[in-house]
Amino acid sequence: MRLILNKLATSGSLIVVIVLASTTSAIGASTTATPPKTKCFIEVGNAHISTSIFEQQGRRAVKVNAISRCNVPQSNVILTVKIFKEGLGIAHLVAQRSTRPENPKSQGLVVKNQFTFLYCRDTTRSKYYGVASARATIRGKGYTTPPVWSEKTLELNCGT
Amino acid sequence: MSEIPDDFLSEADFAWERTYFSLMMELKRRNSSRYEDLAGRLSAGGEEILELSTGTYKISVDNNGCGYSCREADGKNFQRLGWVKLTEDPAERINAITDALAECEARAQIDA
Repeated sequence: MRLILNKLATSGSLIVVIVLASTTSAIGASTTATPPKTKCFIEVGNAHISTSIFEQQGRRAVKVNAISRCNVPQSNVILTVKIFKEGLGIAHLVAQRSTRPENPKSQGLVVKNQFTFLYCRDTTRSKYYGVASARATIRGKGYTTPPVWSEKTLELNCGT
Repeated sequence: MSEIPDDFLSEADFAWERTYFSLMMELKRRNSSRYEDLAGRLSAGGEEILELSTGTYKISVDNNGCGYSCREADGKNFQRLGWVKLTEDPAERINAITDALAECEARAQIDA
């Protein structure tokens, strides 16, 4: 556990651990098996200028990645990432993307959202952060995870 | 350029990104005329249905932004897959809607 926490502390991203189903006690039933705890994590990275987009398209874009991990298979995962820009007044939403639940990549122990971005209009310095949340089916039940924020709000040379 | 790679992305993930973002660029180049026509019609606001290889998609534009959705398995509702904020500048709006069309088709083709 300490190893995981140390790794997270240096990863530049924030994570939330959600125990979706705690153990079922075997009250009055000595033969009842105790199912393992279901633990799911959402990790969301900091906003950054995407190297992939710049290399492939020659355009600058602000991007935020996120991952949903569970210790049991999850299915029909809708992992949504939102990018917020801080400016005068309250922060406002500038882009969002969600995984498609029917997609084969939206099943399993790990589901990633690595396609949330917004092209920069110019190089005006602006502050961005990401927020990720998820809906998934685990052991036949639907679960919603609360929003998780990027660890840092970062100022990037990206006016939008 | 400030690039802060997330350590949860693997080499395979970066390879996927290269394929995806280059496909988006290729689609925008190849379909520029069709996308610009459609973006021009949608710029003031509205919706358009796109029948693509992996399903039925909907592009929606209003004053605030441009979104695209995919028809859910139940065949009734649409699930929002993407949305970007639009500016008020007409040329920038059309360019951003064109980008969203290319992105929507790229996701359909690559099944993302």
